[in-house]
Amino acid sequence: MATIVCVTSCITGIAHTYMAAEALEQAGKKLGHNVMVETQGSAGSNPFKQDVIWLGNQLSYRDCDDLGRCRPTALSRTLGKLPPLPSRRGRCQPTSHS
Amino acid sequence: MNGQITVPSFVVVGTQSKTKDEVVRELGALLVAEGRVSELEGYVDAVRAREEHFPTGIEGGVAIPHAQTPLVSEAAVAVATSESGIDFGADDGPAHLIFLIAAPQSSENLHLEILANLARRIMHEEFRDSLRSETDPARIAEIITQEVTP
Repeated sequence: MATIVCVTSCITGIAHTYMAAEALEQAGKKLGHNVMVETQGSAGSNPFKQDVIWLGNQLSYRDCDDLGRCRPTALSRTLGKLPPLPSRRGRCQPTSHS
Repeated sequence: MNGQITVPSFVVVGTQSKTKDEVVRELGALLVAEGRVSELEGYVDAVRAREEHFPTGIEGGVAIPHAQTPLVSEAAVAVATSESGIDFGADDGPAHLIFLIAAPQSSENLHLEILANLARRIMHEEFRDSLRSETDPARIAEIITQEVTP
């Protein structure tokens, strides 16, 4: 089981932020992975706690692509190693350090 | 918050609209009629600008055109079902279920939390199927209200 830490954000911040979060959480559940999502939308964000930020910084990232346009997220705060990926169909496949 | 985000008068079963501009205008007019949106043209323009950024059709025959603007006085979601489907730019074909989302610019968190809940529910096939199989606007409004209440 991998632990996957995600941040979702979209231009308006009322729909896709939460749709993406739900899709990631459901996919994680289906595949048996532990998925944690920080939504950065208009309904307030639910910032990760410090231990999750620490965990995020232990992860490594590969296979990212950048196809779309989104507003910038505070990824540098949340996940130091994740490049900001304005992405409609970006794929990030984090691998757990453990 | 005065009312539910979706009331029966915000629901069109089997819309005759053929394009996304038509259906956004049709649903937007319902929100104007109930006083949730103060001015149709400005709201439709805001939705169109958002669609131009990238279209809101998603896989599974659903579209979620939306705008957050001061023209919205109270959060609302209007819903249309379409037999023939309306192109909203999704890869897998036209949308048969369209949610037009109106969000006020500044709002108590509760409104936005409800919209966030709706966005999450839309990702569930059972939720989409339950709406698609309904032909009674009152039932559609009821299902949405039940599912999104925090």
